Formats: sequence, structure tokens, C-alpha cells
Amino acid sequence: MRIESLFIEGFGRLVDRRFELGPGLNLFVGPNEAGKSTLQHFLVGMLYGQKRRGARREAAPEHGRFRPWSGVPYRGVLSYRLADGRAYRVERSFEPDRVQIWDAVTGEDLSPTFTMDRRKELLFAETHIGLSEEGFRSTAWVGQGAIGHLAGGAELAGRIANLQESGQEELSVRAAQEWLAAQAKQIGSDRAPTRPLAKAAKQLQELTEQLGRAEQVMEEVRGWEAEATEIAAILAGLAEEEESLERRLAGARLERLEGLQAQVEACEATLAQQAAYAAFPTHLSTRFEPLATELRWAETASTERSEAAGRARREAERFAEELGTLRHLSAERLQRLGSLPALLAERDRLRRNLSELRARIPEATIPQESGKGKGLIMIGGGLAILVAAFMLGMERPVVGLAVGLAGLLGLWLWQQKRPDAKAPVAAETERLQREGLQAQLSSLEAQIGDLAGDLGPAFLAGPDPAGAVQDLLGRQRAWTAAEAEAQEAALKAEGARRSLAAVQAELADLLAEAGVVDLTEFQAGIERARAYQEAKRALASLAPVLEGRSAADLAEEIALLRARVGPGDLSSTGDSPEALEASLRQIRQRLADRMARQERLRGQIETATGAIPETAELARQIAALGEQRIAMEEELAAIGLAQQVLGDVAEEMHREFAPRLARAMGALVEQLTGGRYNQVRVDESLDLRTIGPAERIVSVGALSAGTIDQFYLGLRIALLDMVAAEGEPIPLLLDDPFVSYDDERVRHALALLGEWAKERQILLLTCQERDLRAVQELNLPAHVIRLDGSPLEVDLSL
Amino acid sequence: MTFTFLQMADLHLAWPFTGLPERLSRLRRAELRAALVRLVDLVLAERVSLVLIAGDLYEHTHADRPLAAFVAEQLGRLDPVPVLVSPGNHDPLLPGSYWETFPWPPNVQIFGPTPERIDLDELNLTVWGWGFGAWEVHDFQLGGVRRAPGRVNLGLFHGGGAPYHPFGAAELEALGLDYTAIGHIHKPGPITGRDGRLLAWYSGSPEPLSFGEPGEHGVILGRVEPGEPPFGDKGRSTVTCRFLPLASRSCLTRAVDLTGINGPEAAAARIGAAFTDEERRRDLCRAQLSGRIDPALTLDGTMIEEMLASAFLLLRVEDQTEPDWDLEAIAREKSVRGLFVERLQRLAAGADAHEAARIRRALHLGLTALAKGEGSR
Repeated sequence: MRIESLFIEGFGRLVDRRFELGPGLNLFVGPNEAGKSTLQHFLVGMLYGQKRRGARREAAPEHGRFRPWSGVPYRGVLSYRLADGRAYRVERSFEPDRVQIWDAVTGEDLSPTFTMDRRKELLFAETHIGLSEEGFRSTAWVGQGAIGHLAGGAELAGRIANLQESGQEELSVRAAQEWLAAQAKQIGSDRAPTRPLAKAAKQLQELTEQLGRAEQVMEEVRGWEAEATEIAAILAGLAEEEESLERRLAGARLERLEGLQAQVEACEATLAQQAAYAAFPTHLSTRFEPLATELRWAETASTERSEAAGRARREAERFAEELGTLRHLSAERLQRLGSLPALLAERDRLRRNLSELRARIPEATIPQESGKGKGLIMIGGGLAILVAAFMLGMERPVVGLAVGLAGLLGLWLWQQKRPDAKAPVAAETERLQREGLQAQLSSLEAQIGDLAGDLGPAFLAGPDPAGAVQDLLGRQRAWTAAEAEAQEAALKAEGARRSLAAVQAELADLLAEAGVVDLTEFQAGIERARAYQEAKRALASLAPVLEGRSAADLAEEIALLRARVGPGDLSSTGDSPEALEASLRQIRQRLADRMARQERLRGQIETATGAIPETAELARQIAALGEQRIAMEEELAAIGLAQQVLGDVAEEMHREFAPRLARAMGALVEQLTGGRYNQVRVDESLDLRTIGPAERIVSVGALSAGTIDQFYLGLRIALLDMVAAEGEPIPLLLDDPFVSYDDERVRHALALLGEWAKERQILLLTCQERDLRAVQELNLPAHVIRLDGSPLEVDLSL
Repeated sequence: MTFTFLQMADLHLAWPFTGLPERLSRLRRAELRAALVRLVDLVLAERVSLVLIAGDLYEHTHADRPLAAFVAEQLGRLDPVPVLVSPGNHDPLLPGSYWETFPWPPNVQIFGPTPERIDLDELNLTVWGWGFGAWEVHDFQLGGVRRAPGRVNLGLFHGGGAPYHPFGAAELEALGLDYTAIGHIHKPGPITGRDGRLLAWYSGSPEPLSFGEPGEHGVILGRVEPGEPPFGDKGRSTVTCRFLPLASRSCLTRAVDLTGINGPEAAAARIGAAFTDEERRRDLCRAQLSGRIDPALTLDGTMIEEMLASAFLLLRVEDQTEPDWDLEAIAREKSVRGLFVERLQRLAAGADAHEAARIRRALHLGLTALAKGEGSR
């Protein structure tokens, strides 16, 4: 591309200015504020427009900066020609934004043939020279002092490195990576505890743990609260129970007090009633009681003894009646009657013996009477001795003696009549025996007849006269005994009567002492006095229960209890106050225990609750921190992605672009230095090296400043060639590049530009007359334009 | 007997309000409590016969005893108006939960995790209900419910999507109830059957809980006109519902295009203008920034929020602006930058939304880094 002319209708300070440009070196000379910068921006603006870099149709800041001051139209015209000879005219209005591209020869509007970007900008320049606005600005436009300000080989090496990595001299991948790394570092990582990410993570962890603990405590507190609620329900039940028990207790106490009151009243009533007997000699009752007992006993004994005497008398009389006249028999007779059975038995024996004897000896041979008489005498004598002995024994000496004598007489008689043994022995003996027996029998029968005389003749005629005698004697003895008994009973009855009389006399004395008339009155007095004493004792025994309460106190207390108990009958529960009090104590103990537990729970809850942070607030903070952390992690991920892709593409760029650049630059350097140096390389440590004379590798930093400038200019040219569209040289726009150069270096640089201007258009804008002079001295072909307008353009090449 | 009921759900007392600063989150928690007070006042003023609470009345995790006492006090003010509660997935009837342990007033009845009916004979009403007994419930629980003949039949429960007791209109229709009060979805709205009959309402949250809950929030006031007895399966009662806005504030989200701005002041001005004075003063405002802005212009949402802090009760700025890079042009550059853009654009072509956002960010960061690195070395 070669720019052929510029027409500025209005752009910044430049108004209605027209510039014709030459094909090689164009030198724009003017002092400061002459419009050099304006001209450069006009040139770039004409090619690329004045919009922001971005996706919208929006004016860039310089749009306002270069709006014409005088209000003339903000527009211009630029004509250029490409290497293939085609010429174009660009007509651009900066306000309103409009651009048209014309074929400078045919006048055809070529605008529709160019691509338009989203900013509505036609990409004709990019199409023709292969450089975007950004590329043009960074490659073809060398800013003020750019060359002269190179700080040496290191900076140049950096720029070359940039180129190698990014394709743009000003675009540093390394710096970009460093910036990205700095951004990432600012966020930090989990391993950098002072950085926001780790801080957020740590804080998040702490808050999460805090929330966990708080929730745990809340759960515990909920448990305690549930227990407290349960206890409250239990307490309510216990309180009801307590109330019920208290009422029942009051009822029981009321019942008891009412009983007490009744007792007191009863005692007092008794005391009032029996007051007259307060001094009654109750001590007499100690005497009275045995007396009364004795009296009763004496009365009974007297009665009983009298009755017994009567009974004995009647018995004696009955026996007497049975004996009839026999009872008047003398003792002697009776004693003799006593021997009657023996006599009868003896008589019967004698009779049997006699009968036997007669059976053996006929009666004729045996004088029965003599024998019988003798025998009876002997027997009678014997018996008489026996009876006499008995009577003597029975203290009846007279009778005994008489009987004894009779016996002795009998024996004597028997001795006199005894048969002679020397009589015919057998018969005589037998006869003698018979006679003896007969005699005994006769004596005996005489005795019997005598005795039986008292009994009457029929007596012996009975079948068992012995038995009858025995019976008679028995009854005689019974009568005698009954008679004796009757007499004894009569004596005893008499004794009892006397005892009774004595007791009655003593009792009469006692009653007189008591001042009563009779026993009933005495007993009543004793009872009343005792009732009085009893009431008094009862009242005294109630004293501990009353505990000093008067009857009025008691009544008042009862009234209070009645009010406490209220309506309803509670007395039927049957529980004693003591039992109820025990139950109440138990209930109260349970109440106290539960209340203590509840109190403890409340304390626990209060303590725990006071220490619990508001979990909702914790959750809010956690969420906020979580969001922050996610945002940071997302940012880190984005940074990481940017770093990775940037690294990848830089490596790719370096791989493809760097060798080409090195080759192009090496060739240029060789050309520029007349073959002294060739090849340029940037090593890993950013050291720029070249191969110098004798194939020696030389660090560019060690070269002279002029040589470095040559290298840099070579770099720019090489770059321009590399990025330009195929075969299309791009104009080089230099803005006062040599301000810091000394004259010598200016001459070197200009000489170099002169060389390069042979193949491309170079627009050098300078405020240095020195540059112009150098061009003239070097005799370089150049198109010189004075921006201040005096004198007008001078074409040195012409 | 015709009667009215009030349906509410999803008050979420003790909600953490995670998107808000501490001061405002506390304020909003206080306003949730105030909403319950207003709601009770409304019931008393309207002489409503029945209150149905369809879950998530409070946050189990954050609720404490004073909060439970406050709820009990408010619901107790309604006595003798029956208050039926179906615990939700945020306030499930867990062992030891306040639903289980707190001494609730006698007019409050709480449904448990087994479907059951509560008969209110004075209204000739049977309410079929069920409550969460766990954090998640994967199946619909009321399949076995059969309407009680000769009575008004209402339903009360919480849920709507897995794993929170899933059901849909078909399940509600199958219940055959006159109406069902449901909670879980915070946006109020009715559910109708195939024949267009009203089946249920989500009453929504009485107060919005986040910017995800725009629009009006409140409760449902329902009116039941029983059918002529005996009304069996076919003679259903007529239930009409009216939505009553109750929220003290709204959550507003406005898109603000910042294209062409030249600095944060201009951005703040545009954001401020997107809301009315009343909205700024009363509501929770969120500005979603859009448009393409100069890549060199750093927009800091937090800084803009602070700039406008005095003008708003709450302003949340979400920066969704795009740096105005001419990526097409850059991609054409024969440089590492061109390659970088071209490479990332290729990556973005096959990426999901999340990845694409990350790539866009990487693109911006990389270009910014390269721009920062310009002139370096």
C-alpha cells in the first residue's frame, strides 16, 4: 500500500488541508502543536475508523478529541494504491459515521464489496494490507521515541520475545500470564492461608462447625424443653393432687377438730351436770365394793344354808317317818338287832347241822333236846362273848359287859351238859352232838325271838329276815346320819344369818358416812362423781391435742377449715390426717424434685440458649461465604483456563512464528550491517544473541546503541513484511522516533530508513529540523512536508 | 352451612434470608413474624371459621422456643377458631420437634405422618390431612383417602415434587375432595381438574423469601357452600377462593442495560432510574446489568451497591454485562491474541451454559491480561 494523498476537511486542528505523499520516505516536519499527532490519527482513522474496539458501533474516545474546533465537517479523503496498481479513494465522515470506498480510476463504489464488522466498519484496510487496526497500531505505527527509548539489548530482546510469543511486539504473553497469575494469587488457594479463598474456606469451615455445634445444642435444648414441658404437665397433675390432698387433709382435720370440739363440749356439759358430785366421797367406793360383794355373798350363803338346813331336816324326817316307831329303839337294842342276821345265819347252820345229824342217827337214839340244848348254850355263850367284846369296843361297856357275862354263862352251861366221851361212843357222841346243837339252836332262837320282838312277829316270817334286819339297820343309820346332818345344817344357816347381819350393819355405817340413804343413791352418787372425774380427766387429756386453743379458737379454726374444704363431703375418704399428711409430704417431695429438675433444665436451657448464636444468621453467613467461595473458585477456574489456553497458543505461536521472524530479521540485520551480523536468537533468559564476525555469538546487549537501533528497525520491517498480506508492503508510520538520539545516531537511523524506503513507503513525522538536515546531508530521496505551511511541501527527491 | 376459611403456607419463620445483609435479614425475619400477626388479625376481622396451614410455618433448624411460644400465642388468639396444621418439609413433625412437644393452644390440631381425618361437626366438615414426619417423603401419601359422605370434605397437606411428597392434578382429582389446601410452592396459584373444576390452591408464601419469588404474596380466603344434603360423591360443595395480598415488601428484579456507559456513576444512574422512589424505599431490588461495555471499564457490583445504598432499602447488583471485545476482529489477528480468542470461541461452541460462562470469563480475563501486558517486557 502506498498512500498517495490526504485531504482533511476537518480533523482536530487541521482544517481543509491537503497532503500529497511520495512513494518512499515522506518527512513531515513541524514544531510541536503543528498537528503531527492529529495527522497520524487522521491517517489511522481514515483506514480503520474511529470506533471503540469491541462489538458495538460506538465511538472511541479520540472521536471527541479530534472533533474539529471550528465546526467544519468532521471528515476527510485518503487515496492509496496497492502493489498491484489498483488505486482507491476513501471518503470518510467521522460525524456522522460513514465511509465509502471508491475505485479511484473507475469511480465505482466498492464499499459493498468489503466485509463490515459488527461495529458497521468496513474492513477494506485489513483486507488490503492484512493488518487489523490493532495489528496496524502495534506493527506499522511506531510511536514517539519508540526506537530511541530502547533501553538496550534486553528491551529489544523482550520485544522480540513478545513477537515470538504473541506475534505482536507490544503484546507480552509472559506479562499477561504474570497478570493472570497475580489475579489467581490475589484469590489464592487452599494452601495460601492469608489469601481470600483460603480465608473464606477456613471461615466457612469454622462457621459450618459453629452451626453444627449450635444445631446440636439446639437439638439438646429441644430435648430439654420437651422434658420441661413434660415436667410442667406432671407438675400440673401433682399440683392438682396436692390441692386435692390439701382439701382432703383440711376435711380430715375438720373432721377431727369437730370431733374434738364435740368431745370438749361433751366433757364440759358433763362437768356442768355433775358439778354437785365433784366432792362425793368416791374413795368410799373402795370399801363399798368389798362390802357389797360380801353382802351379796352373805345373802347368798344365808339363803343357801337355810335351804340346806331345811333340806336336811326334811330328809331326817323322811327317814324317821320310814322307821316309824323303830326309831325309838334304844341303842342297845339296835346293837343287838345288829347281831340278828348273824344269829339267824347261825340258827340256819345249826338247823342244817342238826338235820344232817338226825339224818345219820335216828332221833330215838339221840336225845335231841339235851344235845340241842347244850349246843345252843355253847353257841349262845360264844356269841355273847363276841357281842360283849364288840360293845366294849363300841364304848358301850354296860351292854358289853352284860353280853359278855351272858356268854360266859352259856359256855359254862355248855361245859356242864357235854356228853361223856366214854358213853357209847358213836351214838352217844351223836346224841350229845344233837343235843348240843339243839341247845344251841334253842338259845339262838330265843335270842332271835327276843330281838325279833321289837320288830313284830311278821318280821321273822318274811322270806329274808336277815336282809330285812340289815335294811332296817341301814335305814336306822341313815336316819341317824340325816338327823345329824340336819342339825349341822341348821347350825350353819344360823352362822350365815349372823354374818349377813354383820355386813348389813357395816354397810349401813358406810351409807351414813356417804350421806346417802340407801345403796342405790350411793351407787348413783359414785357414778356421777366418776362421770365428773372422767369428764375432767378427758378434758385434761385433750389439752395436748388442743394445744392451748380455746373453744373459740377451735370454732374459728373449724370455720376456716370449712371454708378451705368448701362444699362437698370429704369426710368419707376415711384417710387420717396423718396418712394424708404423709401423702402430701410425698407429693410435695415429688413436686419439689420435679421443680428442682425443671429449674435445672431451665438453667441449662438458659445457659445453652444464651451461648447459641442465631443459627439463621450463621446459615446466612455460610451461604454468603459459600457464594463468595464458589465465585472465587469459578474465577480461578476461568483464570486457569485463560492461562492454559494462552500458554498453548503462545507456544504454538512461538513454534510457528519465531523461526520465521528470526530468519527474516537475520537477513535484514545482515543486510543492514553489511554482513557483520546475521541470525538473531532470543534464548530462554531473554538474552538476544547474534552471530558476529568470526562466527562468534554475541549478546546484542553488548553491541552499540546504534547497532541495537538497527536491529530494532530491522525487527519492525521484518515484522511488517511477515504480517502483511502477500506481496503488499505496508507503510511505516514513525512519530518523531529519534528525539533522544544524538546526531550521529539520527544519521545512522535515517540512512537505514532511506534504504528501506526503497521498498516501502515511510511516513516520518518530526519536529526536529536536525532530522531534515540529516536527510539533506545524507542526500536521501524524501518527500518533505512542512506542517506549519511555510514553505509548502518540498520534494527532496525531485 | 356456608363458612369461610383462611389458607396459608410457607411462612418459613426464622428463614435465614441468605442473600441479604445481616441487618436486613434480621428485619425480614421480624417481618415474617409480623406477617403472622397480620394474618391472625385478618382471620379475626373477617370472622373466618377455620384456618388451614399447609406446612412450612417455620424453619425447624433455626426455630427456638421463643419462636414456638410466639406462634402458639398468635394461633391461640384465634381460639375457638380451629387451626389445622400440616407440617411441611421445613418443619416436619420429627421426634422432639415443637409440633410434638410444645403445648399448643387447644384450637390447634396438627396432622401427623399418617393420613387422618379431623371432623369439625359444627361445620359439618371433614378435613383430610397429612404432615411430613421426615425431611423427605418420596411417595404420595393420601391415595387411600375416601370422602366422608354427607359432609364437606377438604384436604390439607404439603408437597408437590420429588422428593417432597410428589403429586399432581391427577392425584388431587382422584381424592374426590371438595377442595385441597396445599403448600410448598411459594408462588400462589390454583390447580384445576380436567373439567376445569378448582381442585386446590397453592397459597404461596405470605412474604417473598428471595428474589426467586417475584410478584404478589399473601394468603387464600376460601368460601365453602355445601351442596344440598345428602351430598355424596357427585353432590360436591362449592368452594371459591380469593387471593389476598399480604406481603409487606416485594422482591423486584429489573434488567438494566448499561451499554454505552462510561463509568460506574452512569451505571448507578441507570440502575436508580430503573426503580420508582417507592420501590427503592420499600422493596428489595435487584438490578441485573446487561449490555456490552468497554472491556477497560471495570464494573464492581458491590461498589455500585454501596454508591446507591442510601437510595435503596436493598439493592442487589448482578453484573451480566459483556465486555465489548470485538472478538471477530481479534480472532482475525495474526497474533497470540487472535489465536487465544479463536481457540476459546471454538471451546465455547460445544460447552454447556456453565462452561460457556466460564469460557467467556476466561476470554475476558485473557484479553484483559494481554491488554495489561501490552507494552511490557
